[in-house]
Amino acid sequence: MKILFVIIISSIVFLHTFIASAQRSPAVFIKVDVIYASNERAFIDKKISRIVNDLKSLFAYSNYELIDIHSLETKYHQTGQIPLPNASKLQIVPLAEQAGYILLNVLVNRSNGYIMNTNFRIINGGTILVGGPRYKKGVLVFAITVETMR
Amino acid sequence: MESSSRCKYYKLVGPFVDNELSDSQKQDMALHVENCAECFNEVNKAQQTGLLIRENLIVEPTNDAMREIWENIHTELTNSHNFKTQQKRSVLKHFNKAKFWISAAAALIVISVGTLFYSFPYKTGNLQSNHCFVESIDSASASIMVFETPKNKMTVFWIFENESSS
Ligand SMILES: [Zn+2]
Repeated sequence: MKILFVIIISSIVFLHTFIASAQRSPAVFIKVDVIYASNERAFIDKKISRIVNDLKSLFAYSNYELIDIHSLETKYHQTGQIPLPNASKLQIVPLAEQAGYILLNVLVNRSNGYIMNTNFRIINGGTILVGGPRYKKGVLVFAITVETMR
Repeated sequence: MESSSRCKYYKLVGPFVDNELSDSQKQDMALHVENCAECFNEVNKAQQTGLLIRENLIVEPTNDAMREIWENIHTELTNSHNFKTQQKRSVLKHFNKAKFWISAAAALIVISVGTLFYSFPYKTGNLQSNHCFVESIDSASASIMVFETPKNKMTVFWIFENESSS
């Protein structure tokens, strides 16, 4: 029993050391699903059905295709860049962490200037959607999920 | 003389009264006793009462019998409960020796697991909580509207591009 006790104590010490090291440089994980929405046909990609079922109640598109997935690891005040299909760019900068929320700056850039610049606080692990930029016969929708270790 | 005129069931009266017959024999005998005055009287005599014949004919137990059955069941249950309690006590006696260490280990496991969950609040693939507060928003060439989806409460930034900018 004493051996078990020692094992538990040492694993807790290890765990706390591991957590402390993780807290020194918190990584911010960003995942972006690039979705093409149009009325070309009636099709919904199963991988994004949950998002699409929600979106359908707001917008009248019949075709939703997942055309790209980007995952990147960044840090606070470090810009994460994601190339978009319509020759534009998505720039994401985690600014701070505030009580379980992550303060982010998101910029959608076209060659001739930005079409959106926003600051928002999102709950750790939450997802936001950015939609509307024209692409082919429809529009693009970006599902941005942000997670960090505390 | 007497034995030759006796009913052929006569020799079964004793075993019937003493409940020594098989179920089918008992049933035959009970039916016979209902129709044979001689056997009926013999059975009555043997028991000094006609109650037993009724008990053998009617399967339903009397209230007294039911009470007895329940008393037996109660006794059985009480005994087995006492036995289990005794067993528990002896297990507890053993447990007391290791109680401190088990409690300490359990508490530490709870603390460490709690720490783990508190420190890694990952909700991969969980879109149930998408709380978002928009602090600022602007565009050089487009109009932007902000919505919230009805189910997953996801904030939606919708960019309405002008013709010239696309
Ligand atoms: Zn008879």
